[in-house]
Amino acid sequence: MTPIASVHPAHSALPGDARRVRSEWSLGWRHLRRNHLAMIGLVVVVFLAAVALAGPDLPLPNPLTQHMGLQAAPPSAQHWLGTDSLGRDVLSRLVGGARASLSIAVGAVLVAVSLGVPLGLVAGYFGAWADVAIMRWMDAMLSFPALVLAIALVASLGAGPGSVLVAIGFVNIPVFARLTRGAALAAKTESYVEAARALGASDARIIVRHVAPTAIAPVTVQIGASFAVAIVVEATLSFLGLGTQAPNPSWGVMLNDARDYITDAPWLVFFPAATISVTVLSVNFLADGLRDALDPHYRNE
Amino acid sequence: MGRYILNRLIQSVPLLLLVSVIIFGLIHVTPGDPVRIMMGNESNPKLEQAIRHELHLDEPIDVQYVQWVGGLAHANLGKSIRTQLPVATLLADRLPTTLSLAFVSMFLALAVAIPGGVIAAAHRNSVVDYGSMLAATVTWSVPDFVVAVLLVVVVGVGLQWLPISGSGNLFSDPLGSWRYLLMPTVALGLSRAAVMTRMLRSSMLEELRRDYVRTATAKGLVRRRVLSRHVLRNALTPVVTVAAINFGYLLGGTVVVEQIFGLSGIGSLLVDAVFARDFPVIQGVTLVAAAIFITVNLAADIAYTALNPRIRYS
Repeated sequence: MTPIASVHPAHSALPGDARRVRSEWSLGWRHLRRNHLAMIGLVVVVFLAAVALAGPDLPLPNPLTQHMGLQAAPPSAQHWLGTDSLGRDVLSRLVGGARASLSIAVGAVLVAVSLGVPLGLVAGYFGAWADVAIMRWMDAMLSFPALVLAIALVASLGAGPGSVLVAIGFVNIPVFARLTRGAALAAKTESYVEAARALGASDARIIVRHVAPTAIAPVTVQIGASFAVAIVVEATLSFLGLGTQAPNPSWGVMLNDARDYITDAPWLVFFPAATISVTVLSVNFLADGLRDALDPHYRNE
Repeated sequence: MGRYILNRLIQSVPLLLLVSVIIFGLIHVTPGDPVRIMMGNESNPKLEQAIRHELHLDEPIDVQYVQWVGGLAHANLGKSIRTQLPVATLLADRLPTTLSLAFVSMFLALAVAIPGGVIAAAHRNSVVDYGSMLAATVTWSVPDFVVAVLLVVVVGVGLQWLPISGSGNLFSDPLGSWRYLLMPTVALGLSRAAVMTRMLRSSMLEELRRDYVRTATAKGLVRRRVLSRHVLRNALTPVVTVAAINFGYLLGGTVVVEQIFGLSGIGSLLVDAVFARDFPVIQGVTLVAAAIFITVNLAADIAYTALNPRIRYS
């Protein structure tokens, strides 16, 4: 079952309507494709993901191998982006950092979606005490500055990439819960939901088949935005020394190490800074494009 | 109005209770024994037992929670394991620096965002609009700590215009502190300026679609006057809410900025406490950050009601 065909499944019982529903998404894609910035973002994100996946198979020096006598060397034919203070290849470490950063961001968004979306569906669909019980907790979580809560969580779980993944995911749960709750509140008053209930469909079936699909578009848009935030928070936490631990490569760690060599080896600051910024910018371009393409409110702006 | 404020204050009591449960849960419910984490690789059962007793971890969990919340009511946040100082004292010492950072950053961000958002919306779909929105997206995408490090490299070390570290307390030294506050607050405020410019632009565009704008234009008012007299006034009201939400971001952002510029606020206190596994301090900073954020949001809600006579909360 593709998500495309499952939007408003109740409608697809009507002849010709399945095509109209599908065209919502192809309309969105057509819109996205015409957006140059979003396409640039998509290309960069796909490229980074490919590099991160290929990582160890790329013909690059080992990111952990230290070359004594070649410390903080400027870019050269052997080391395209130079070496760091321990003589390790900067390009290899950036690729290793991409693996760490992207996998943690993907994992964190998965955690946030897989917990936030069901909570939002239950709160919105059942309302009453379920809504109060769930959403008060979400409000309480949103009462913390996100980075402070994430740091406190990492502290109690112990520093490391796994804790960072869980912490970023946890902090992002309320965003998805709120969004999905809104979609569920709107969907449950629709006549197709009433019709399904009249036909004897169970609550679980109504939620999965008729309510959840209405949240797919807004959740997709939010995934884009949250992914960018997750990359920034991961880099921030590893910059502070709470994420990926030495000697493993990570963009935040690289930038933090480079601060001691700013006068002698400025490229050590420049390359990780540029990589983080370009990655986040690309994801933001793509996320903005997704919002423009999928949110009717923005489509004509 | 007084009644509304009272109602909102009463409403925030259950919220604060849930917040306290989350902070309490940080140390007690998470997998892994906090005392074991504190000890690291050391093995010293006697010391472990002492810490357990000190933190009341040897008592039933409900008793612990009641004791902890009871302490909070008396501004007793416990004692730092590392320094043995009361957490409340540590926080009181450090809070002015963090608040200076957050407020000055917010001021800088608004000083950019209000004119930026208005100009972009007024010249919708023009080169100015696209240019400023692209600039906002680019600025927004560079993480605070990257901006901070780049400022240190270029302005601090390269040009040597401003000191790269040192204390900046707006409250105790309003005139002398700007040299220390400028780089940290720019690093912190830049992304908020970008976010709020984008938000203000959309709220202006939303207002521009309304009927009263058409009426004002139809009766012959020049565009500049329509924008300044009607649109801006209505579009600025949500800025209060937007600023409050972004204030929470600034409070979080101070953690990394304080670290980079060597400022001793509650952010660097938090990071030090995390490395020292000083849980009472971690809990104290988290609690105070949440309390400030809740207060700022409450103040914004009240200001919003005062600014917008159409809205009267019951």
